Amino acid sequence: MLKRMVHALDELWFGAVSPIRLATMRLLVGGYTFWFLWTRKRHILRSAGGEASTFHPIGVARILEAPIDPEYFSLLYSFTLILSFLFCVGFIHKLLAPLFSLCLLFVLTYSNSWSMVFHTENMLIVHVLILAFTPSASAVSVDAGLTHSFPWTRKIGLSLYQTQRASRFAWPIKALQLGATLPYVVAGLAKVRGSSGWEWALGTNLRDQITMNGLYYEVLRGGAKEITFHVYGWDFAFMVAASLTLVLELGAPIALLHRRLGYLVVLGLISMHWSILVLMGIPFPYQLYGFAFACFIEWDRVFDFTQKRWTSFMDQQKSALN
Amino acid sequence: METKKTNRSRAVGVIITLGLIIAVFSPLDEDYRGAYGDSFPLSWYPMFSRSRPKTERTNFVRGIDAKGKMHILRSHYYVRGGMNQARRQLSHLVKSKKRAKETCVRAAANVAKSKKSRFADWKKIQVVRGYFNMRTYFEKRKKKPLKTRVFASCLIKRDVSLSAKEKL
Repeated sequence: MLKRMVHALDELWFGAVSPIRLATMRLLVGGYTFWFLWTRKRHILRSAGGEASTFHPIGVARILEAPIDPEYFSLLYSFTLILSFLFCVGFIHKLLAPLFSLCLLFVLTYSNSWSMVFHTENMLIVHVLILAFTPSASAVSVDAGLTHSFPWTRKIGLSLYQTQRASRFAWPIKALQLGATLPYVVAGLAKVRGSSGWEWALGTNLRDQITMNGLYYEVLRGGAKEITFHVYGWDFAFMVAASLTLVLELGAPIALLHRRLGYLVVLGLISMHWSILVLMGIPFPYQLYGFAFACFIEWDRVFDFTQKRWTSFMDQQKSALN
Repeated sequence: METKKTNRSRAVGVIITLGLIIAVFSPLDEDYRGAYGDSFPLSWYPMFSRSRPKTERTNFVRGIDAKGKMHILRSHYYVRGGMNQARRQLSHLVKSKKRAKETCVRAAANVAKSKKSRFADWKKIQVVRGYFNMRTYFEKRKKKPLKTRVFASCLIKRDVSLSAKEKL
């Protein structure tokens, strides 16, 4: 029995997969990070230039005793932005990707040290760290292209072009999936271990949090979402929403066990984030648009299927012309 | 040779996976939540876990017009950043009388400088803490605070130009 379980676990974690799958995740996460850094430039740089007394270093920023010069931080931000592009295209991955992940970790942690701790980028950082320290540039990358065309470039440290399915591409995918689901378990446990306990499932806490957030919007931004003024009549709906939230959060890791079950859980989690956006106006773009959960898709199968359909379509067109 | 390499890759995989699990779960223990009760990127996502009281308190800045009517002043007139950053800065600023006064003067100067018609009859700015009954506020839309504590109060001097220090 134990032997069978170990074997099943081994197969789940280390069953050979195509390098395309991990490479696609690098492209998606790298592309998203570049977009995120580019579009949030103003916010990141402004937030790090506030009054020194509001600087409360957290995480890796605790190595600092005082804020750094805003100009140096701006330079570091620009450097990280460039590295994010190189990470996305997979250039000198073994050297630059770990450097990028550490720079990104510092930039976002430092930025968060000036305000309340935002939870919108936690998953992104975890995913970037995993992809940066694993062979995610072995396909669909500048490195792979160069080592394929000029094998000697492997000697200068570029990632080797790979086509074979292997276990070394499998566990990073599983680690990404863990990174996309475990934080929900932590959030779920925090809820039931809090003062409300399992009564959190009744929905009162959830409703009160929404109205509290609405009050902040009212007094600081001039108005809350209209929907906030109607939540007190929805006790049953909140009970259902809170119960479903707990089930989804605490059960999220079951998404790793079965492909279709995984899609169902992912659909639930994405719906949860869209509900948060509608009710509270808090966007989690990395989750909302599915980037966080793209690791559940078997991209090599998707590409194979698309290629076959395309070839078949082209053959049909040729036959019709002949 | 290949098997040795595969085994090494598996060992790395096991270590990183276990490290990831331990790291993500670590904030559930209070000792690993950092000096401010939460950290980044490892968090215990406290936002939704706390029970909220029926009466909530929050700091804000308001304007008072010639008829004594009160109006909310949006945070970008006195602090930088989005809603949450403004909330954190304001809760820090009201801890000191001097800083609360400076915030008030900055807000008043920015209102005076503004050409928006809604500010035309505003006479005074106040940095306050309001206590709100949430059900009354949102269900009955009765937005008047149950009570307020004024940290700083200042007049809007429309003829005074904005000094460099007062600029955001």
